[in-house]
Amino acid sequence: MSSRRRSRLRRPKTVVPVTSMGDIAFLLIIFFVLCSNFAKKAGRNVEPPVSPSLSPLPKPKLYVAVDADRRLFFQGRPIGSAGEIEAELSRTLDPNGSIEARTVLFECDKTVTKDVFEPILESIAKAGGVIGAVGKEHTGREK
Amino acid sequence: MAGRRHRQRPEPEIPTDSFCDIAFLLIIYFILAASLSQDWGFHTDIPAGQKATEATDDKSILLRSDGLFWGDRNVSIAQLRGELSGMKLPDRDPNSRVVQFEARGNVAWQRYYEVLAAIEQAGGVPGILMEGGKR
Repeated sequence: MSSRRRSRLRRPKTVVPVTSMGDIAFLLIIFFVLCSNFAKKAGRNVEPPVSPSLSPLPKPKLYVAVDADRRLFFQGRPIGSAGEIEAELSRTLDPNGSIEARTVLFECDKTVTKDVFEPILESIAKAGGVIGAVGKEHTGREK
Repeated sequence: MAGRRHRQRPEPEIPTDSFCDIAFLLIIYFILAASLSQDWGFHTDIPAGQKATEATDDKSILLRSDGLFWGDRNVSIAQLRGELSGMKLPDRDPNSRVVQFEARGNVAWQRYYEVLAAIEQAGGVPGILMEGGKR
């Protein structure tokens, strides 16, 4: 009789509370989304030039890109011309700031020609920016 | 019948265990993607206006679609690196480190970048001669 009773009695289920873990995880996700800078570069068709002895560049505050289709981007959004980039940079940059503060990361596809990239270099220089020219380290396998 | 009504019903719960799994997978993705996005390159502070006129030498770099020239001599990029390092630019006064560089025709960013990188790595400052005049 007693064994039957025991088997009939329901034992309380052991439940590990995971709700708070989920909250923490999503807070961490929000932190990473806000602090990461790769979203600005997402979807760009840019193959950077290759050169030996490059050094790591700091995380950019200002970012200019030219893709293989010769489209210009400022801070990840499309922009019309080098003149507009200069106007945006003049508003943002402090000409007396440190090199880090004045660095404008310039990422350009290696096939883009001078008529496109030179006016951009000129506008960055005119606005008082220091060009952080993005490239790819030479591995010896490139042509 | 009345006794049955008094039985305890199980509390309704929304299963949240899978949320945690998804969230932690996303975290791992963000950590990996963020740490891999290191950019490589070099800094170049192109001098504005008058500085470019204070060139280090009479020799200047000319990049054309048919070749790279150091003065009037056709050189390879490796030879140019050698010539520039021979100038011992880092030992010079900061104002006399400017190396004049001009590109003519529609040269690609790859070749232009190699020349700029060579000047920077030799400790020089590129004084870029643009279509509109000296910078």
